[in-house]
This record gives sequence, C-alpha cells and structure tokens, in this order.
Amino acid sequence: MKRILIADDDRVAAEVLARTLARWEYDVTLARDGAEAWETLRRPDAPSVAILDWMMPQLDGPEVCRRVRAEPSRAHAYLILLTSRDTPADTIAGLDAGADDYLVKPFDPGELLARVRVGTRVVGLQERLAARVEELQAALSHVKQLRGLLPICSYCKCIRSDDNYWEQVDGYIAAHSGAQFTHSICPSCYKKLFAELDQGAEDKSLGGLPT
Amino acid sequence: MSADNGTARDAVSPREHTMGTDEKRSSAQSTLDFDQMRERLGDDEELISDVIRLFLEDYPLRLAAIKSALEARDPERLRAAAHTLKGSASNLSAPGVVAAARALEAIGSSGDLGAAEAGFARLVSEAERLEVALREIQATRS
Repeated sequence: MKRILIADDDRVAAEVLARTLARWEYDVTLARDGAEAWETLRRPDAPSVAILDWMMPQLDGPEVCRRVRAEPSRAHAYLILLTSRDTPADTIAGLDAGADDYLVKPFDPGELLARVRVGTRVVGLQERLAARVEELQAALSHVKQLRGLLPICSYCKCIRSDDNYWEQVDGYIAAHSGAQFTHSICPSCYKKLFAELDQGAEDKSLGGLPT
Repeated sequence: MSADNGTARDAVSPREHTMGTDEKRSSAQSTLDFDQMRERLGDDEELISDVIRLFLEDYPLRLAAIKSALEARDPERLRAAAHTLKGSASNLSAPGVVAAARALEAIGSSGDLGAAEAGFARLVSEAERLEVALREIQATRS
C-alpha cells in the first residue's frame, strides 16, 4: 500500500504535488500545516512516507521531523523536506532535524518520483526486517535449549529439572534439545554384564550357591 | 486580445503600432507564462483548471494574511505569508506576483518594514493583473 502524506500550507503547491503522486498511484493524505502533519504522522496507521514543506504555520518541516524521530513507534517513517531554501546550511539543518532527503523547489517531477520510490523501498525493507524479527522472536521462545548450570547426581547421573524433578539424563536431554537417543550398550558395561551373567550361570551349574 | 491592425491606431504613433504586439506579449508573459505553466503541470488539462481555480480562491486569503501582518507590524508573519503566496504563484508561472511576493518576503526577513506598504501595493496590482489573465483563460476553456 503506497500511502504518502503531503504537508504544505500552499494549497496550489499541495494540489499539484498530490495530483502528480496520485498519477503514480500513491494514496495521498494532505495536511495544511505542521501541526496537522504531526497529528497525522504520530498515529499508528500513519503513512510511512511524507513530503514536508519547510515553512508552514504551527510547526515547520524540521520540527515535524524532530518530533517524528523522537516517537519510537513512528521513528522509522521516511521524511522528505521540500523547500525553496537552498543553501548548504539549510540542507544540513534539514537533514540534522531528521529528514531522510531534501529537495529544492522548483522540483523536477521525475526526480521527485525517483526519490519517493527510494523512500518506499527503504520503508519496505524496514517493515520486512521488523516482521522477520518478530518471527524469529516467536520461534526462539519455542526453541529447546540445553544450557546453564545443570544439577546432576554424581552417582546415577540423574538431572534435576526446573520443576525439581530428578529425571534420567536421557529424558532430560531429549526434552531440552533436538537430540534423540538410540539405546545400546557400551563395551565396558557389556563386559561387566556378561561377566555377571557368566558368573550366574556358573553358580547355577554348581548348585546355585551364591559366592 | 486583438492584434494592433486597426487603421485608427496608425494616427497615434507608428512606433507604438509596430512595438505594440510584442510589448503586449512580453508584458502578458510577465504576468502569466501560460506555456511554462502547462509544461510544469504536465499538460494535464484537469489539473490546470483546478490549479487556476484553487489559486483564484486562495490568493485573496493570502493577501489578507499579508495585510494583517502589515497592520500588526509583524515581519515574521509577513515573511511567512509572502513566502506561501510566492510558492503558489510560481506553480502558475506568474513572474510578476512571484517577484512582488519575493520582495515582500525579503522585507519581512530583514525586519525593516519601511518599504512594506509600497511592496504590498505592488503585489496587489500584480495579483489583480494575474486574476484578469487567469479568468480570461478560464473563459476560453469552459
């Protein structure tokens, strides 16, 4: 959705700008002065791109930029200052106040469109990034993790879980990681086990007397 | 406006007769450069009509704002109001009003309102000329 705010107290200039952008399929909202611009931009459903005239009643363009940047939920908006003020000092002041771009009037319509497109692209990138972060955060909360300092019994190797339950180490690991178990027997236990079995068999054949 | 080809004009002055049309055209252009306006507005007929209509509705309010700034002897208000009118007029490619508004804007910036009354009178007269030109255009378009 290509939505854009135009703020200018000059009704003629605003109309020309709005019409030009509408022709390029932007959904235009108009503000007649800086206060109206700020009120529009601070709302959660505000357009993400705005073209602000510098000299406006109530709040001027740079002041609107400052306020937008100070508002965390709206600070990512792409702000273009459009003005007839053309000295380097003005450019610096405008960009330092928080504008993303600075266009001098009279503007070339093609150049304006190109710069607005940059704004739309940047905002699009940021929105995709924010969505991705949200996805990752949700996924992270579901991820099984084997971490921290685990209380383990030195004898039977049971691990005490968060809810004070001593569980077998294979159960604990399976619950807290993606690992799975395939149960078998290690060589030394095998030796021990068969030694016991052999011993037991011998005892039987000798009349079952325990050693 | 009809060209100067009536014989009655010859009696007035031959120089006036030959220079008449060119002078008229350049003075007309200094009030309103319609070709440039057309170009600036992308040859969009509807936009041109709307812009003319909007300007005619809006400029009296701008003049009133300037007048009230002068009455209040407020240079900052004068600067701001003149700046806005300058912007509108430049969208119409109206050099006369643009120049007069720019002069008043400069007076406002300087803080010295001495030349302001004369500047305002000049602006009003340019604006009236522009209105005439715009209404003529509207008449030919409707």
